[in-house]
Amino acid sequence: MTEPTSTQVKAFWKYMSEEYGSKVIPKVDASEMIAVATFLDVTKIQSAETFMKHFTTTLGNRIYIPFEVGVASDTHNLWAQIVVCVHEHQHIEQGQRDGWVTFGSRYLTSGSYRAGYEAEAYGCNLEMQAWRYGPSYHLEDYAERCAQGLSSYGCKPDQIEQAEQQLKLRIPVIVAGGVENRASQRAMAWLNEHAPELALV
Amino acid sequence: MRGILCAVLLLAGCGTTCPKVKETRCNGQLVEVCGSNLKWQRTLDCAQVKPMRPGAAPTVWTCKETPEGHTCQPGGEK
Repeated sequence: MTEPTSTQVKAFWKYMSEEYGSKVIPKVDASEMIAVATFLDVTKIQSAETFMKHFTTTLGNRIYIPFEVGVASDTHNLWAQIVVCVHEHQHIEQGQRDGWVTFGSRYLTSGSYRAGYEAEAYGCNLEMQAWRYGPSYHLEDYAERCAQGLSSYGCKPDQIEQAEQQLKLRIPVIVAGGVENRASQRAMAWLNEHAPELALV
Repeated sequence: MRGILCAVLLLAGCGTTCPKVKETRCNGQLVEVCGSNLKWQRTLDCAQVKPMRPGAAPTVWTCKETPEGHTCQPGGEK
């Protein structure tokens, strides 16, 4: 199986950051992320270690990453780093489309809107997996797993069900060869030109 | 401070109400799903769908009802 190279992953992140004007920051060095981790830990929403090691966080145009771009880790192999990059930039799309105040207030105060925004961003994960592995990739199972993961975002069961349905409505589009999310479209434009061998179909 | 908080909560509460969670509809070319907060939520914009692979014929996508709910369907070449 053709794996992405470190050089490709670095070039991809650079391209996406330039497209969106985003800034990539190591999570471990960010005092604001340490403060958020402490808050989540104290309120028992999520352990500080899980938040700092497993989750990439986007605030405005800043993307806080728990890995070094182009260096495979236990939690993020190189393909996963490409997928995470697309997912996080879709959140920037959402902020630019809906306005940062509306996006931020809805995301922070409503589990249902948060589930909806995450379902859209996880739609990038589905689109990217289909680009790499083909539409026969287990998209239904993957959509369910992505939705179930929203419990880590403080979403309740009815909100997770809502997100699962939102994700599953994307599958017929993907299977028919379409891509809806703008961040995925930009990612695929780059990958089709610079790293077409990563598509295994 | 109270004013800012009220504005934030007001914005978070905005959106058209819907009758039943997980119900779907077409709103123009937008696919919307009824959220658990009983607000219609944007899920797909069919006008934004593009081909995944280079060389594929550009297709017009439109919002249509299917047995699984409303979603984008390819409707022919552009």
